[in-house]
Amino acid sequence: MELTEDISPARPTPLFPRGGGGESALFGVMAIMSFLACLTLGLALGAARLAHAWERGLSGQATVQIVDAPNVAMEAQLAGAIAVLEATPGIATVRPMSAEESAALLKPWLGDADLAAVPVPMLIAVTLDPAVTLDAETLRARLKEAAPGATFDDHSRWNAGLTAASATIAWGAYGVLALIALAAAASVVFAARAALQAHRDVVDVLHLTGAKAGFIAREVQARFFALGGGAGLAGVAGAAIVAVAVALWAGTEMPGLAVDWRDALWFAAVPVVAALIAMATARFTVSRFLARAA
Amino acid sequence: MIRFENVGMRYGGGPEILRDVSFELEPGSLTFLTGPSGAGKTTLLKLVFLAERPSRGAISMFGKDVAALRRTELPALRRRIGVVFQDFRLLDHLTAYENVALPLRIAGRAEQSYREDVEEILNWVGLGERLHARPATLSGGEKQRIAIARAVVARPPVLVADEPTGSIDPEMGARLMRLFVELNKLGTSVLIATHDRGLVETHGARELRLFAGRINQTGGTRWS
Repeated sequence: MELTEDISPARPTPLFPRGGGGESALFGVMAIMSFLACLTLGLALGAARLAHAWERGLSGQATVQIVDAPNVAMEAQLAGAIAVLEATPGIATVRPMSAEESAALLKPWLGDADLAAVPVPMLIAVTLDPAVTLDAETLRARLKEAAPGATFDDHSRWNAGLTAASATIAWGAYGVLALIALAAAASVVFAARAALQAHRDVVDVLHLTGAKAGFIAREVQARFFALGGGAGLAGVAGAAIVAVAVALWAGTEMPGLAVDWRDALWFAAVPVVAALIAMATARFTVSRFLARAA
Repeated sequence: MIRFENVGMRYGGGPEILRDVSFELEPGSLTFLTGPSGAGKTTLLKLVFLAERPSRGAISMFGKDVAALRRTELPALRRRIGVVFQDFRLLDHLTAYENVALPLRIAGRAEQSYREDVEEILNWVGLGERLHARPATLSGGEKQRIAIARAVVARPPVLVADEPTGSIDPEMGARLMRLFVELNKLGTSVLIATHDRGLVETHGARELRLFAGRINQTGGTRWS
């Protein structure tokens, strides 16, 4: 057997020894940050899904309401409106509602009053084809021609409100995620500086042996990459426990907030991002430190 | 190769530790730097291995003016100067093998490309059997020999040693000196700081005598 066989480990020993610079504290901070990032991400994804579900419920339907118009008979308006609707691309079904159905809709407002004396508007229930984008403005103009008393309501007012609300939640969540990333980076700056101070002797020897700043930075950043990734995994593991608990507790009551396993990819990105933040920040800090030291 | 001209050195606003120091190290020369403690030997060596820059005067190394060097040019120059520190400065968490391999690792060489070189140099300093030992388990003389092996493993043209025989017994000191002389015969310029007069007299090499920050020269091949 050759003497050379096990002189060195398969991977070279890191040039900076473990410990020093509060690494375990940084691990804890980064794990908590990753946990919070997962919760924020979960909240944002849940809110988006809830908004989407509401939106889908509303956006498949529209209503055309026809009221009395001078010089045009109600029936003529109804027939004209139906003809226009059926000829419009993007409309799947057209169903005029009977007088009884309309009366039933008015009952909560008017009680048992005799509706014969009241001009009750006629309603047409319309379902939309989700595959085709409806040109609502053209449809309104054409309806106006065929039935002057007709108005088309595609619930877009409600949709717009929901879209705005979910967008606000999403941007709020992105903001919180950015703050978490910033705080994580700040703690890496402190830890990297502390590590360099603690291992000043190693830095000196490397310098005097002809190491370039980039070489020293690579040694340090590799260390922080591993630390950030490990802490990220710990944070995701904690969040996963919470997610399972939430799914068990709220899965049936609040389907929108329940965890969707398709989101797993987003959560899998958290340790990667944590590792990259730690690595990039450490590299930046070391380069600054060495530039001042030399 | 290395040339000092009227070099002065002070730290911050303190007193001048070196004054008007002028000398030249020729390729392949063996030079002793002597003087009492506090004479400025270590400071002068720090200037030679580019740990410090002078307050005044000019230093030229391998044809380059040190004052005009950019920070990014320093590593390449430092790799041409092997240093044996007075306090060894071994990395305690690395094995003897890894400590010696450090300059090659820093130079970006792959481990399999230098493994034999490192083993050979460790055999040369008599520590071929202690590859896995960490500095904490080594004696002062062994650490010193690891430090020497590390300084010369990349075959730099200049070797600088600060009190290499200071903390070890005379027999080991003589053994180390034989290593330095051998290296010198192979073409390396060797500069050794020591307060051991016996060492200088035994080898009869050129001597730079530092006293209160100034230099006197005796012997050697060339006066500057």
